[in-house]
Amino acid sequence: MKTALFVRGPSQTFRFILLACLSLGLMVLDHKTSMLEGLHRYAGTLVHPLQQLVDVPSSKIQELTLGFNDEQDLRTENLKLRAQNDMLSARLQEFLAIREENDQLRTLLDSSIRPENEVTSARLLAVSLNPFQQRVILDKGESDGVSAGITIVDHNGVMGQITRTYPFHSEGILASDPNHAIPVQSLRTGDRGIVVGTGDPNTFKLLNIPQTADLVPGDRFVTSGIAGRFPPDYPVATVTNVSKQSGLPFLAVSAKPLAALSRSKTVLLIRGVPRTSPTPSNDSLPGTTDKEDK
Amino acid sequence: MIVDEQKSTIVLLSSLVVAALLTILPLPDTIRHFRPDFMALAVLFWTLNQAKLKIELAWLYGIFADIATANLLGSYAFGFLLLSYLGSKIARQFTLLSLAQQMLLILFILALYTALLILINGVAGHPIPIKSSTATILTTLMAWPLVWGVGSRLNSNH
Repeated sequence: MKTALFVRGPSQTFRFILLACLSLGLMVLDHKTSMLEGLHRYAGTLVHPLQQLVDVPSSKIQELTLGFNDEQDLRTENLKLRAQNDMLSARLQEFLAIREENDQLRTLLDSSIRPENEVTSARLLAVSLNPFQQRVILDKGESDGVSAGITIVDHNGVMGQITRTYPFHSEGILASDPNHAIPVQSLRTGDRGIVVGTGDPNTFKLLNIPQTADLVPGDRFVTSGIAGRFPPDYPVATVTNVSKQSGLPFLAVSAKPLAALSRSKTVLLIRGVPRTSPTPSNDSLPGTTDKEDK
Repeated sequence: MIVDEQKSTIVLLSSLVVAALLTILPLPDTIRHFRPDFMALAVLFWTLNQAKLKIELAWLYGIFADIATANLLGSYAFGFLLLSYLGSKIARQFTLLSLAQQMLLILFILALYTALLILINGVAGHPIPIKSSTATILTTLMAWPLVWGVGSRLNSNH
């Protein structure tokens, strides 16, 4: 490189300090405010083709393995799926009847009827994002009616929620991120708590479970719907370990996610429709407001 | 001469894009943590090899990396800025050093860069993957001789 004998303009160190300050400013703005959302939107849309390009091999491999399956395999799989479908349809009949009955009972009790949630399916792009955060990219965006705050579930349980939307794709946070919290309720005992991620996709922490709660490993927790962010009654986690520590107001509970957080490819996006009647006042627990507020 | 300049700019930009692609390419969980930091390698190579990458461009590349990996805006930008600044300070002497000395310097710079990223993510409240960060530094260091060898050869060809 040709270097002038007398460098004109600001020195390199000066430019370094300037840009370093600019980076710090950007980070603070991005972390604490939503002023940079517009920039994220445009830049994210520009970068998205790269993410799609990277996703191509894994989706092509999936198609190819499908092509290599011989007819016999496909037949048996088809039969199995049919049987499963029949069984699920039968269960669904039962469920619809129970739902009908539930609605009638609720009307008798003068309680609000729970509305049906809107459901869309989406695919997670096979993109490796930064190792510090548990994020995913989904192939549905604003053009498909996706908006921030929508719950992501797979066929076993809650996976997380949408944090940012772009015209044709969206970005979600997994429930295993330490900055993510879900208000939950035990199916067996009705105890309420909060599921918080640990950074490990196979472990959750359960917070705010009182010492007196009767929890045993294997108990299932479902969303309680309290903060209004997550629709109620979606399975979240099963308890793996409960330890009582004297002197502390709450139990230390660890749980295993029901959703396959690091493996699921196809997911459902669920927009909870709020119930019409106000929730009872005793529902407010400390800290049930959603921690995901970036 | 101008054609040469254009050609090398194209090579530079495309290598940066390839590095970004390699970074977001999904890998199985078992080897994911051993992926070298390709973008850091690209930034280091282009600043140390004839100082082709200006610190402003490195910073912009960092912004691009932040967007592509859904990171806090400005964190990779700061990291790459640091890499290119330190790199440009030692670029003149660097080509004269032996490979072992080069790698020692690279290790030092990578450690500083990783410490900066860990600090930023720690302050932002994200968990700090010490083990995988260490693994990344080591694999990035291992990849350096290859990048330097191949890159320098390609560069001297035109």
